[in-house]
Amino acid sequence: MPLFETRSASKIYRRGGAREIHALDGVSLSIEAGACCALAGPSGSGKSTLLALLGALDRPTGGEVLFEGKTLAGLSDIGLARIRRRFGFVFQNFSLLPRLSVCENVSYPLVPRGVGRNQRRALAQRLLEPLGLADRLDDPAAELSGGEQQRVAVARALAAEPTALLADEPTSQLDQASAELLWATFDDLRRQGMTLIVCSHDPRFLARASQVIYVESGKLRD
Amino acid sequence: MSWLQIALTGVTSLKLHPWRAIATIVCQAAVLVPYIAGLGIAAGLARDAAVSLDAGADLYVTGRQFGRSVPMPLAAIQQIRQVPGVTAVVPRIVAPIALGREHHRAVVVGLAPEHMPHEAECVAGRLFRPGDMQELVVGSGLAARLKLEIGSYLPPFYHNRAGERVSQVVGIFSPDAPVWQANLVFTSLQTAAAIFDQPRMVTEALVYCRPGESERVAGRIRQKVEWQSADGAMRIGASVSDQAELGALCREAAAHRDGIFHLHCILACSVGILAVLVTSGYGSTERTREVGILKAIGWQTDEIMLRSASESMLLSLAGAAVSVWTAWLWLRMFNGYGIAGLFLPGLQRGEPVHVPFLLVPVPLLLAFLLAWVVVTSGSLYTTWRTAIAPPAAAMR
Repeated sequence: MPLFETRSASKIYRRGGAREIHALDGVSLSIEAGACCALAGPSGSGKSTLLALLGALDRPTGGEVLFEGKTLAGLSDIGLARIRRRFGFVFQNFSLLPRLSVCENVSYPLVPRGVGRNQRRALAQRLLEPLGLADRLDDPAAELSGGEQQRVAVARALAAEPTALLADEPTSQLDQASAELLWATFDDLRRQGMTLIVCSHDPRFLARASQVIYVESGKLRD
Repeated sequence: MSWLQIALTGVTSLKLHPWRAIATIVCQAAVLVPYIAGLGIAAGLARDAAVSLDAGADLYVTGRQFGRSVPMPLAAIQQIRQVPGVTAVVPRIVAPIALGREHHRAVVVGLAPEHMPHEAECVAGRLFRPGDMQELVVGSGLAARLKLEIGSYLPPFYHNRAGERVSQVVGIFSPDAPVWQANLVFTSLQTAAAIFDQPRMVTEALVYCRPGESERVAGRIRQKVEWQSADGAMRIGASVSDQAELGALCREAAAHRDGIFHLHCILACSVGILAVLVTSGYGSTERTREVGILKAIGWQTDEIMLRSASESMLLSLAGAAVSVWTAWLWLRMFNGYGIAGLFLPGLQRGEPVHVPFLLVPVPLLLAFLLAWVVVTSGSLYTTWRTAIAPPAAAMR
């Protein structure tokens, strides 16, 4: 049974009156557990929309998305939130809470789970150690460089011990060295058996991927 | 205890939007400070009125003619003294007067020097002497406005059949006296009678009774005490009010005044909610994104709402605390400048009169509740709207 599956999934955005944008059009795919999957394709092809549907960040307009063989279509807001807790997300623009400290950012996914403050801090330290940011625990996230912020985002994504890590163009705003460091981190995660789904143009990641899905104009390309 | 952990993130939420928090607290203070200050003055006045009533006579007797209060002759005082159960009767004259070129409103109180209220102890000078000596003891507020000092004359104080009379200020009494005494002019019974050209007449009698007998005494006065009008054509009876009736009158007046004030505050509160809605709009894009991020990392809508409610509660507490402190400062340091006049007509800037105030728990809790309603109604709805949207849309 695949970990992720879409069946004729489509997504239409309505912008201003009757204007419709078909971001995804009848996409069917499956991704096995432990896969390192790259979503590739030109800008505006629908990769990020597909990633959002797989990660339960959005609902499809048509078709269905399945996780562990169960459709997400009928799930309530709470049900979808519980599914999202099993994923770690890394976004293109980092999506950190800039005025909060690195520690607070990393440990925020654990707050609704009732994890105490001291435990959260210890976990954040443990996650940031291999990423070289253990000494920046109390710094505001906004004071970090782009590469450092993205590493904090990775630590946050891993905080809740997710089943899968979903990343949307994680290196697009990073320099070469920072991007290389991030891919190395992803390599480690892949070796540990985590499922990775990454939107990326970067040939260095495409070369690492066990499965590459090309998206063009909202459709899969062979 | 995840709800507690979530609620605690309300503190960090304030840290995320410090300017919004400050703007919200300022909006709350703008609405609540006048409200708390006004209620404080109202409570202070009520307390002073109750204290004055408690310290006053058991019964207040005046003449009654055509449903109006009229003066009573000194002979009637003698009749009251003879009523069984009466321990003392203090005749006095209380009547309004206009003083100076600007016709400052004052109230002349004529009574025997030994019956001066102890709150009105002289801070300067001495008490007036008995008899028609034309000596006055004035309240500090009035003295400040008319620039009167000990030894000042009031030329001409009044004209009557006896010609022009000039009176001298011999004392200025304490500014700590209840606020309504600040505009009083105390003098002897005879001088007051001369001022109003009503010899051997008084406006009222304060009657002290043996404990538990005031009701019976009031009934006897109503039945037995009467006198003839000046031309002898009409019989005039006595009107008697006890402490309970006067207390009810005070409460009725206070309720009317407070009601108008509450109405103003409800209007201000409505404006405040709109203002908080506007301040909620500050950084709304950032807040929308923040909610999207929280949902993406696994927060549920109810958890986000709890976080927002906790933030609102903290903002309310902060707003209420700032408002109470500012209101106290306004009343204590600035003597309720600008608002005291609403409750004390005629009170002017710079008068050395302490405006009474009392910050009691119920209005303070009400202020906190109002603050919470203002902040919550301003922010919770917008948060809920964002939280029910898909995270991808909120983060876009």
